[in-house]
Amino acid sequence: MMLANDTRNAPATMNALERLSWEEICRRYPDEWVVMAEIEWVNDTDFEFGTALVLAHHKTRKEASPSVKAGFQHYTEVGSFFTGRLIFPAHERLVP
Amino acid sequence: MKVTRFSTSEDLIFVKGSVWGPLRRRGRPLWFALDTAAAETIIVPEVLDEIGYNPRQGEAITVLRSAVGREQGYLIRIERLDCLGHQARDFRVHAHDLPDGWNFEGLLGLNFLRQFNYEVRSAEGRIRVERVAA
Repeated sequence: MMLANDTRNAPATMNALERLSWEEICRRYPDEWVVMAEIEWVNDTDFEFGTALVLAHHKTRKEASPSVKAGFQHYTEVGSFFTGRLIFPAHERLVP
Repeated sequence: MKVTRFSTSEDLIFVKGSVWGPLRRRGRPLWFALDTAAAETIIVPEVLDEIGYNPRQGEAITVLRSAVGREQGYLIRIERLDCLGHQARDFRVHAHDLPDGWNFEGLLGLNFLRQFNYEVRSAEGRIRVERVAA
């Protein structure tokens, strides 16, 4: 079982689920793709939400996809989101 | 009139959207980059696979030309796409990989946006959108 505060050698899929805010998720899983379910959206337009269940966390988006599929076996809404900056790499090459 | 907020600290405009497919009773949420320079809306193939679509259901094979090369993908109609507080049904998207390191899962292009009048208020981090009467 993975303990929440130390993710260095943690398995990507989590056994003990807890509800976390986006700020807590970003702090705990920096620069990773997190697979979330039961997201308490504030409204139908913004990304803002209260808390969500984190089902798994991965280094790449492709790695997260099987966890999303697995999550849909148990939850009606599952998504994957990156916790770091959403910059695209080409931008870095444009900066002198 | 719907108002969507976005982060002004990012390099692009990212908005939350959701897509529906045959396997999902609720939408699969994802981040789109708003791209008024893209004619079509693009979603990465993994997301479409997760909601129950596969390349065999595609209408056509497509090739995306970009600064980094040519990527093959496919064109497909999805049951529903929600974004900016509005929805589009039986909506055509391109299934294409985005380059590694682009940490979002879709580009929201003009084939979605042209159904609306919209106002991007960059300094405020808000997009105001109203549907155009048919």
